[in-house]
Amino acid sequence: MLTLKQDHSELVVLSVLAEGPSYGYAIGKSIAARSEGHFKLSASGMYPLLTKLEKNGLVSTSWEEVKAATADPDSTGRRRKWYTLSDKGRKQLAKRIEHHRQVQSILDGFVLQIESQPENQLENGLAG
Amino acid sequence: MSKLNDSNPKLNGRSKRTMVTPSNRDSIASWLDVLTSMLSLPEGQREQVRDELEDHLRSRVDDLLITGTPEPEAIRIAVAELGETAELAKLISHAHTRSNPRRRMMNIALITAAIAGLSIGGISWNNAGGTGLVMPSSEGVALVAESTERETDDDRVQTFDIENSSMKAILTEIALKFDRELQLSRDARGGNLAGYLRSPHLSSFKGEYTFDAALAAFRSNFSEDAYNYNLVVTDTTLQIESYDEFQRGRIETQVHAGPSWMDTDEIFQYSLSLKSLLSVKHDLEFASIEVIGDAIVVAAPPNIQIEVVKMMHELEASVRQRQEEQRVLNEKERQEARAIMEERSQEFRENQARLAAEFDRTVNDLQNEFDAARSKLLASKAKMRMIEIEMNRDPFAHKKEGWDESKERAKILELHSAYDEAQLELAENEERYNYLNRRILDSQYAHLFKGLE
Repeated sequence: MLTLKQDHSELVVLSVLAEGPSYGYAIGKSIAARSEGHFKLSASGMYPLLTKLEKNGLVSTSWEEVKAATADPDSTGRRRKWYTLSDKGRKQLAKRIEHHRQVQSILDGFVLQIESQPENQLENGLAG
Repeated sequence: MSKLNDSNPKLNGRSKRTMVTPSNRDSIASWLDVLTSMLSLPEGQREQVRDELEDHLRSRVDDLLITGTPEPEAIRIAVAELGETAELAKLISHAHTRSNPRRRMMNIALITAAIAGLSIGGISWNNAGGTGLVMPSSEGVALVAESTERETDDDRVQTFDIENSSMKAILTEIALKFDRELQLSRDARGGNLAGYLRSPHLSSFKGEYTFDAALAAFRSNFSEDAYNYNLVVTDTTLQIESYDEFQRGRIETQVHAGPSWMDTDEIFQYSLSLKSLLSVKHDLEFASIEVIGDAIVVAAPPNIQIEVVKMMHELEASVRQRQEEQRVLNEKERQEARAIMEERSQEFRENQARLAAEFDRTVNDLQNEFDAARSKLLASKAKMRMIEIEMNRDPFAHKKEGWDESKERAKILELHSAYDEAQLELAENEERYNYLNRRILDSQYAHLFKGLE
């Protein structure tokens, strides 16, 4: 399991929100599911990040009262905070993706060069 | 324990949350109590953080119950997964309170009117119209202390009971209840902000509020940062505009003389440094800093203008301080150099005096030696003369009683040998005399030349 670095967390969370509004716990689950369990964003990473996104205007928030279907109709439910990607957030995500692509293509330039070498040479090199 | 634990959790998982036993509800609630108490945030924000984390915990517990985990265990796991409580509280508080350029800009929205333009050359700013006391705070944000209180209906408590309504509907209600006209800016009528204003929200707006409290409650539901709006309140109106409109409306242009000790290139570099320093703390989206001739032209909201002036002051002060330090240093160096020069010339004079004294002493010694040699030479000459007189006497002229020829011959031999010896001594003394005489002459010449130098 890989723990997300803050820089990647923002990209990942914005990407999850690009698919539609969500809330803290569901965002965490989405990240785990979409990375097939490879990525995990802890609560102590997630909520401060969401706060930051909200403060910077990248997401807007709203509250919803949730109640289990079988709950007593008179009982008070709990409040759920929904996050929606704002226009500014979409622009920021596009920028992040662009940046990510650039870094990746530069890294590929290094990696592909090594992979294209004859296999025995590579293995010798790694062994040495 | 609860009888629910005996039933099949896979079937009853969804319903368990609301039917959780009091003790289990307490364990989540008491954890939330602890966390909330550790948050260094205002009450409203604390409640929101608490609600959000409660939703997280209960959602997680629900999921665990579905997988068949017993409820107490599920709660334990859910809480444990949130990590160290104090750390979480710290991180969340920090994220909320971390300086936000927009928030600071919002804070000073109310005082823009109180700040008159900074003069050209940009040092002083005035307190216009006596509306309050304006002072730069350590944050670079000016504070206003209201000098007069307005007695109005705004302090009367009004009851609100609005369910699932839009921002606009809530604002309309607030304006109506406190006798103001709601004014919408261009963006509020047709931009992004208009969309926010119209769209229905799931939260309710209920309670008994004074005017200020109603606005505070509104802001806590719809944060200015998230919705990018700004509220302007007057005695008769409640105006809402977008953040962009707000910032654009605040932009003012000021001309600052570039520091006189800089040339144009340096002023350009200086303006770049100013820009990058400002960008550390401020959103420069609405600011421009350009160099025209020797002047720095700043078009920006007032808070940035204040910051620019502050930075220029700081720079000026630090340059002055450096100049002063340099001056003190130079003065010190000059004094040291002077002291060294004086010391050296003193040394030189002493040395000269010492050399002169040494020279005099040497010449004096030489003179004494020369005098001694002269006396010795004269003595040798006298001795020679005596021996010559003795030798010239006829040895046979005084043949008296007891005259002994062999004795006389021996005496003559002795005289000759004394003569030879005296002659040698005379030559030696003469040589010494001449040598010393030469040296005295040399030293006299040397002295003469020294004097001429």
